[in-house]
Amino acid sequence: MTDTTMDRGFDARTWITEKIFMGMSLGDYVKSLLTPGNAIFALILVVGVPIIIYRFVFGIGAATHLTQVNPWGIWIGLDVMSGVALAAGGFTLATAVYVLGLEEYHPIVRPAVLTGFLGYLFVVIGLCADLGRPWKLPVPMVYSFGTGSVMFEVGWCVCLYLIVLALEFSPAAFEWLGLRKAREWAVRMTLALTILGLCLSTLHQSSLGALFLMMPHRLHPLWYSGYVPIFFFVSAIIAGMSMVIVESGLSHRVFKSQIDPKDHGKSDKLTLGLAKGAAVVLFAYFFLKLQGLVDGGRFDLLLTPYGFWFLFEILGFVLAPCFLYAMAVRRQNAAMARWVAGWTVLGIVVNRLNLSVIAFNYNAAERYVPGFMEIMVSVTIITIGIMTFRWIVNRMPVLREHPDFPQAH
Amino acid sequence: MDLSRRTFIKFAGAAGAAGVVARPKPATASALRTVNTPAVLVDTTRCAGCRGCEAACSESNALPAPALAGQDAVFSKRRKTDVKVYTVVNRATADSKQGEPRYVKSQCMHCLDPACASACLAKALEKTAAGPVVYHPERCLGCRYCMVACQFDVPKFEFDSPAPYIHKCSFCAERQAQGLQPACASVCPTGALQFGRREDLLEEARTRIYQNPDKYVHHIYGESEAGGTSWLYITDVPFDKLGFRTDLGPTSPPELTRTALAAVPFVLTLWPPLLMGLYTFSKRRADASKAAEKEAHHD
Amino acid sequence: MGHDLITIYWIKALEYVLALSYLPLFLLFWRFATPKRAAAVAVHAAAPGWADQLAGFFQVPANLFFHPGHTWVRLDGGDTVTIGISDFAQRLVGSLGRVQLPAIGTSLAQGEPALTLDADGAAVPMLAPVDGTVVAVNTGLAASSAVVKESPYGDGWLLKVKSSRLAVDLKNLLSGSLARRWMDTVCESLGAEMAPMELGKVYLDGGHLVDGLARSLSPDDWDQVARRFFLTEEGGRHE
Repeated sequence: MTDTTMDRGFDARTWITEKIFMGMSLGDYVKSLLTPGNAIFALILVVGVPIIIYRFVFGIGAATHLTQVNPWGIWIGLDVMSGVALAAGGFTLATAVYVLGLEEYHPIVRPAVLTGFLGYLFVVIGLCADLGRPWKLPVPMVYSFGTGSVMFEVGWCVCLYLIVLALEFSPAAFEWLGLRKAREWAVRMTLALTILGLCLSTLHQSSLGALFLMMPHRLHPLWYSGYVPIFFFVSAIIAGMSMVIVESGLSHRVFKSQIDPKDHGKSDKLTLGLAKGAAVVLFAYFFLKLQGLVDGGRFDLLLTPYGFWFLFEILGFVLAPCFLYAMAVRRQNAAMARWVAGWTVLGIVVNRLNLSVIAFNYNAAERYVPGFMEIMVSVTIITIGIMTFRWIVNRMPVLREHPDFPQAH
Repeated sequence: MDLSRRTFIKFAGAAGAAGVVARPKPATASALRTVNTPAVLVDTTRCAGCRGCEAACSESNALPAPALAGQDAVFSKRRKTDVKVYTVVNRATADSKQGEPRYVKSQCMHCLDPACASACLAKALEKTAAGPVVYHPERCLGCRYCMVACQFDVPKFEFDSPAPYIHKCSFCAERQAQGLQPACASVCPTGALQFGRREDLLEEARTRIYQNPDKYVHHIYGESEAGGTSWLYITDVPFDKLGFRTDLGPTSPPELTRTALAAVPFVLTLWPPLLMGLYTFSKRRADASKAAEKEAHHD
Repeated sequence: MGHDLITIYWIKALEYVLALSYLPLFLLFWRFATPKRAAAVAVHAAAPGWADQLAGFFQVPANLFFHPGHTWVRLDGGDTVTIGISDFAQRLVGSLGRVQLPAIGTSLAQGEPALTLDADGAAVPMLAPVDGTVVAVNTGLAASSAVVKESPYGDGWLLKVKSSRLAVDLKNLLSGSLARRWMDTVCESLGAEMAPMELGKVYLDGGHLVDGLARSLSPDDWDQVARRFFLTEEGGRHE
């Protein structure tokens, strides 16, 4: 697995068998793929991929319920906005480990960075499905800069951050490929990448919220606020930590064979640590939302249907998980923390959907409801993302250490 | 870990990029409102609903001829602009005090500080110095941010095309460049559409209202809405009966994003030293506790 | 977001009130979300007076002088003393095999290893509580050490020693209420060892204590646990 394989001359067949098929023959590998879980994935792909092709052949209108009145839908609300928020675990955990020195979280920083990298990658892919002319993406990157636009800043930050995440994850890939020198080079950049990553994340997480600043005429007054960028950034931190809890819980179940038995117990402790962090940030976030409510001054709207929904969002999806997380930490109950994390993740998605679909265009003559094809496209993209995550985790040292590259603790 | 040259260049590059990326627009809304760019005054009391403007617009832009030309039935439903319809004339939902029907022409308002141009990340929609907000199709990504940003719901998108563009009135920028009036204003038989300089037209509008205070509503729509527009409207029926939004404030939409954009260079400048400080602090504590542990073991 | 000059006052006031009330509430919340220091104390919270309960299981006779290494001294008159191991020690070690005792005439030094308990293949040394010379050994143990477990303070005595510096040595030993307090702290540290596990490992049905607590705590290195309590850790500190 070290560079000496290069000296022996590169044997493509052995390399493919070792690296891609995980040491199995082609026949055995294909047989190993025949599981019920994979059957569901296959079904999703069989239905979803043709729909994606259909969308690109016949246009967005044919595949969605988007209209001139409602030009944005769940591809923006779910794939882009929720996706970016849930991928925030990468910068949160990287900052915790490499800047704040919380070494005990080292075992989960790599899966978090991978979740972040794949999250952002598939956000960009989902965006390409939503853009009318995705092949024009290089235009604002290379020669026509709409610098007054918040979306310009989002685009640039996301692109740069994707590169940062790729570089942050590269040590794991280099270890897998046995490229020792490349791996050393990549590891040396970790601190700089982490700091740059936090700068870029602060900017684009908040700017996704800032997109809505130009739309007081479309967003319901209870959700429209000058503080929306801050709300988005803070809730991204919450989403990131909760997503890491969920992802590590699922990984320990699904990838049980990979994880060192002595790490199982550690995982509970780390989960509770993240849960406490999420609880504290949720508490602050709740008060920020209250400040936003006061600043808007529209208490009269709280007694309307939208008002009840707003109250449900901040009480049920912010205050409730805040206290439930705290209780899980008090009782040192990691399983409870994982359930709360799932609920919190759902809450962040609900918040993003509120801003982009539900409380958006709330006073329009025709309201938008996503169609089956739109939903299928989103589901398909998410599924491909999960499958990629699984492919990488099964082969690269993400959940476990590579025997040739013991992590210095 | 020491701050290597590589790291420094990375930060310097990022800070430099920040300077390039986020330069907020220098003009404020109040300064814009005294800008004397081309504008059109629409006096709906003079509009006969002949839709000659629609015909001229479609001919000038090579669009299909207006639907139901010359037929009154066209006014039974409120129409909107569309991919192939850059301007429409609708009937107001209330008649004038004398019982006459009122008609109003809708099209892109060519705002002084337009939301669409500010929203466009590729500068496909661009506010020209000459006044019109023009569209460069070759730059457009089809993200539709201009559509959600526009407070007048003007830009329209080719949802049925696999290579879609945005469509809207261009204020006949090319004709204006040749010294001509926009097609619609040039054919208006009643003088409802008056093309001129914005300040002059505002004076004209104020004069008409002053001289007929009982006739006109005492408001020029577009004078300050959304930070001021190039298309100004005066009327003798309430503006909401004409189908206008009356809840648009005088702040231009791009001004609402000013603070958020201004934060960009601040974050890129302040975060790195802050984080390096946290890193140094936590590293020092970790080293100190490790040293203390070693000492304890030696005892 | 645009406020007029009148509503701005009470809106700003409300914002200040909200922000100021947030600060103490945050402090309270932080404390709410912090589990009490390590699960060890959670166990204490679960069973109040647990250490006292446990301590009650171990006899600490008032007339004896205890060494922190769990050996005891009884004054027989003059310079002669009897030495044995504490009730806690025998309970900790469990079933005893042989007790290796120094021969008559051996010199002992307070705080130095003097005897060894053999149990289950492991040898756990214990420290001498006084300086002096061994003058007698409990020969009854040759046959079986069961008596040490049945009566650690009576017939289970181990050595008789003629002490050389009794008055000075006694100053380093605990008796009476001090000894009982010491046993309480011993039980607390036993409780701390047990924190991650259930109390069931210690208590049998009917509220009796398990024999061989060290083995209950740590089946693989129970002897290390025992050495820790007897202050005879390998490479560790000696008084």
